[in-house]
Amino acid sequence: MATIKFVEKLDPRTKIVLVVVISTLSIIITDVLWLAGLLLLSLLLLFMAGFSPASIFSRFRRFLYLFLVLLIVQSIFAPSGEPIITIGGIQLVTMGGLLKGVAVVVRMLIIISSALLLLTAKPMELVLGLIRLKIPYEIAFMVLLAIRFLPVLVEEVQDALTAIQLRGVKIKEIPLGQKIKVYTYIFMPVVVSALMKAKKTAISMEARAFRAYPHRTYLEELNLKSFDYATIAAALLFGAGLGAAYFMGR
Amino acid sequence: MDFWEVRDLCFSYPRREPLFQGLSFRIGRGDTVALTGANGSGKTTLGKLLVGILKPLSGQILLEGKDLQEYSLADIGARVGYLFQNPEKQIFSPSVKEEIAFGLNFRGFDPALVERRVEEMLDYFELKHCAHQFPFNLSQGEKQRLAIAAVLALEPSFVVFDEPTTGLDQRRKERFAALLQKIKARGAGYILISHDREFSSACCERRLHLKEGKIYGDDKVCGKA
Repeated sequence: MATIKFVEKLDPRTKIVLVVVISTLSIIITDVLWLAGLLLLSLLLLFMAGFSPASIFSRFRRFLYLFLVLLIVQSIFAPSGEPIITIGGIQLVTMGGLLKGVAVVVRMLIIISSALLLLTAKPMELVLGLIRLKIPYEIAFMVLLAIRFLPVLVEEVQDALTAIQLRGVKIKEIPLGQKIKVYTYIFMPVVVSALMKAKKTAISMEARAFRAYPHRTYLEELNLKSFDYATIAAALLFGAGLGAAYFMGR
Repeated sequence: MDFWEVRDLCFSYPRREPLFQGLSFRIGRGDTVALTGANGSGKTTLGKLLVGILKPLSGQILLEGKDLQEYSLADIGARVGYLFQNPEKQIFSPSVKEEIAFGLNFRGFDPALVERRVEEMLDYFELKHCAHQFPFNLSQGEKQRLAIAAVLALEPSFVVFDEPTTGLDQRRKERFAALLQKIKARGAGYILISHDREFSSACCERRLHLKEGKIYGDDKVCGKA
């Protein structure tokens, strides 16, 4: 598909600019309808990048509980407008609060979906992109490490949970106090293992002369092409235009 | 009754070639089975499928006559002990002693019995000197012994050991072999997933050899440790 090739061909810096523009707009805009439009646009970009609706939905589904908590917290603690649920004279859920909750969830969806665009770039390309954007190499490399180790940490939480259950502990059925204790057991090995991995990685990197010389050369070079310049210009113009239109229309 | 019955098991990891296609076998209560095969033949995956860590794509695994899917992991853990290939994956307590006592305490065993069993395990696995230490600071061999001790403290009816002899010196291997005999003597069974063909043949009465996702050999071996 020509569109997939187009997104694939984009320089990682162009993708970073796209993500920054969309995420910034999602933060400064508070109106639900505007946010919904922005979400549609970021979903369109994802389709153009070759993501199937099922794969996008499965990624969103992982955050379902977080979305629900955000929705409930926002609708309870930011009450305004017509009450929807009132218990004992206390307005539990209001129309304004609910809309604010929906806005927060849509904002999260926009940030997640725009960040997914970065998955179309190889991790090392992203590091190169960040370096070309004048981010110090050490910090850019830390970003790469974070991307690399995040799935490992998730796997470790899962392993600890599995190991605990395989000792015959029914996590769902034990009292709350014990449940909290079990969760402290899960996070202990994860934190320890993260620290140990960090230490081993640092030794391994230094053994391979990391930061031994002030200047680095790279095997691959990045070059912005004409369609990258055009995409960056279009993204910045779109961002400025949408931001201005939003604030003037308020 | 069979302890495990595997019927037409199919499994593959996402975006990979199928690992098992129509695998079937039975394991009886109290059987001692060596599961052997080359790297990547699916030994560890099969072990994980048998204890419900992984789910089959199709086919059925019956545990004591009931579909494994009907059990929770905790229900399976109450019957089957599982030793991970990497002991660090199953160590999660702040001290060696607490690690061994964890399952017993959470399953409501009498504190006096917990204390006695923990002491027995510390003694047998020569971990007394580090009973109050942080488990992640132990040597690889000590971690392996701790992981085995924590699994066996619960006295499960069946144990799946994934590469249990990794990191054990010759003397401790012999002690482990003697322990396997004790497990067998109390009527429990075990599966030994191992590259150490000599050790596994000496400790098991049956050997299942995995190759290209199929069981190529189902032999009787000597089983005298």
